[in-house]
Amino acid sequence: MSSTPPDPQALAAEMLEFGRRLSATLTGLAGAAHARPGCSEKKRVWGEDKVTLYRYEPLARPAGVTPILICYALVNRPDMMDLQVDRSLIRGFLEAGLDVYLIDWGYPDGGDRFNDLDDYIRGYLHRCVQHVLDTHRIPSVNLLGVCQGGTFSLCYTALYPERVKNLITMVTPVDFKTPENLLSKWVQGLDVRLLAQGGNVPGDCLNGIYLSLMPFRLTQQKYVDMVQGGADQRQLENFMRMERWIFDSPDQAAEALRQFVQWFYQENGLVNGSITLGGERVDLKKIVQPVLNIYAGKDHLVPPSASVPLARLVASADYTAHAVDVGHIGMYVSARAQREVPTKIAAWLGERE
Amino acid sequence: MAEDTPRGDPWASTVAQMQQELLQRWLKMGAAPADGSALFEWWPKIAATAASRLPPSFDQLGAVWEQYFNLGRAMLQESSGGDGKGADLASRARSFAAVMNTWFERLSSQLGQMANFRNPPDAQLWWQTLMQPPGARVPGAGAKPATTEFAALGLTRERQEAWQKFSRLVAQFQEVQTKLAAQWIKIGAETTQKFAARVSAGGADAPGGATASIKSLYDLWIECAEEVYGGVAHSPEYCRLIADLANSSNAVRAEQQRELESWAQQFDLPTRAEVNSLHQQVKELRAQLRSQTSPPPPPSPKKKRVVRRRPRAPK
Repeated sequence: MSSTPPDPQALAAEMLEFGRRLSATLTGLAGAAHARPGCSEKKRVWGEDKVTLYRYEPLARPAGVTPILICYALVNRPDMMDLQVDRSLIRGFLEAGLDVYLIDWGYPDGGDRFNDLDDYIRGYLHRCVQHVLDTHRIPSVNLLGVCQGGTFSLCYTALYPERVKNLITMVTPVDFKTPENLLSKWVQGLDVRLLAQGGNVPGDCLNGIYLSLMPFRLTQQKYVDMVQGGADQRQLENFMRMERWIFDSPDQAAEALRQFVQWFYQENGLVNGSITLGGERVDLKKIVQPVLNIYAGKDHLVPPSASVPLARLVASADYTAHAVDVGHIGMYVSARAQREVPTKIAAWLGERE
Repeated sequence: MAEDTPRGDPWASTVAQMQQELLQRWLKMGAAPADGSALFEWWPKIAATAASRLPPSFDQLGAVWEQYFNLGRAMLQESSGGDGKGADLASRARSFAAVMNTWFERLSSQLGQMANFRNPPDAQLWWQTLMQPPGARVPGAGAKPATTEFAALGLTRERQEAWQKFSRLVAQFQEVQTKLAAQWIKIGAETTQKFAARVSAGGADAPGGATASIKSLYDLWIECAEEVYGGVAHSPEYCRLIADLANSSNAVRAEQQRELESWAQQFDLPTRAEVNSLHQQVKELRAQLRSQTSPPPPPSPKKKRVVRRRPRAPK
């Protein structure tokens, strides 16, 4: 088979342009190194050990809705919820008049290696909820769990349903053994006892695993696309913020991670009902309050098939599933999610106040 | 939120200077470069000039961009070579695939490190270093590895057994690494085949064809590589290997840790086990204190289950 080869002039021009953009991008990136995630004003209202509870400053007239408590994952930092002014779900909530609290789990160190899931869920999370309830003198709070934090929120709500008025889960894995879940397949044979014996698991290890899920796109193409995108300083700062967030991964407390991998990934405990915290079995059928389950249609970390089964596992008479056509990260920062998600959540909560 | 003040970076000024030089050369070359390779000279020059001042991430990202340049160079050579018509598409595809395939060696090495939870150091050197009395010269490479099979007897029995166990664990770890490398060779070969087939199958508008851009060809290669990788990565064999890599790496580390504990004890230094014990005691004391001052809430009373309506369909 023969064909006319590509035009040398066009190729030379393309390389010339790429070279220009690369030079400009590298120069621009050096000037974007200061970019940090996080944009909305907040204040620390409670703390214990390395855990901090923040309350965000209002941006609009109160909507008269029960405060919303955001429970983020232990992996990565919660800054992603408030990356920058035009990419902030939290800002969207604030502009809708919601009163927003956020749990920051901090950076566990060797002193936290024996922290287990009971400490996180019945301990820290519970006391954060209690603080919000005490502050507002209300019997229950709106709980928004994100990713692994969504899994925690499901456990918490199942254990203490009277303390959660409405439950929102976002990109939350529930069924950990679906065919699309590559991460789950990889950890099925993991010796979790040996893993925990070595102490806290470095955040870099987790990042390496996440990159390995799509190595060519995430370690190669992404950086070519960055150059192709041009050297607009604002775009480069956005890129740098994302980059900083992605690789700012706290180490994982050894015992909590061991339990999470074993109970959720290996034993699929939420589906099988085999998880016990504080002597009480986590039974999702005890979740009877309204549930809004938001998942990402193109999520490679938490595939839709891992989130959707929540519908049949809870006993809520008021269950709503909402798919957004984005990836896992896109759920926090994409323009589409920015348009859809805060509005959707604020409206959904308003209807149930 | 407060952000750091941008700081001056000597490398940034080097890049800017190089860029100026490059633009000058392009201006001299005009719109019809006689020697296309001149387009690519500036990048290695920057890399060579700045290498001693750049952070490690430069190596990684520099390789990504250099690969992109190499693909462009291959396309330019193919398009301007021979009788002007260039090679046929299949030949061209193989040529491009060869450029991209060199990438696999580097990437597979990086991924081996990524998947490895905690990199064990050079086992032999580590062991010999540890066994030396303080102040002794660290033995270099080339030391003979001792057998892992000789029966452990006599006064040094415990030490020998520990060493043999460690050697076996390192061998297991290396065996898994070798198996994983074989998987990556397979991924590389299949990607090359797939890429060549996709390029060959296309017409003038397809990647590799007359109107193709470097970026479109590059993206096609990424797409092929991810598709092939996805197929392999989901396979039971690969999943088992990833778990084995983590487990064998952790086992080596656990044995290293055990040996270090033993040495710490000999020097009357606090060991991890002692610190762990203290942590556990503190944790238990705090739990007791909390239960006395603010007892944890009892589990919620069982409520009458709500009869469920049909869930709403996902949008």
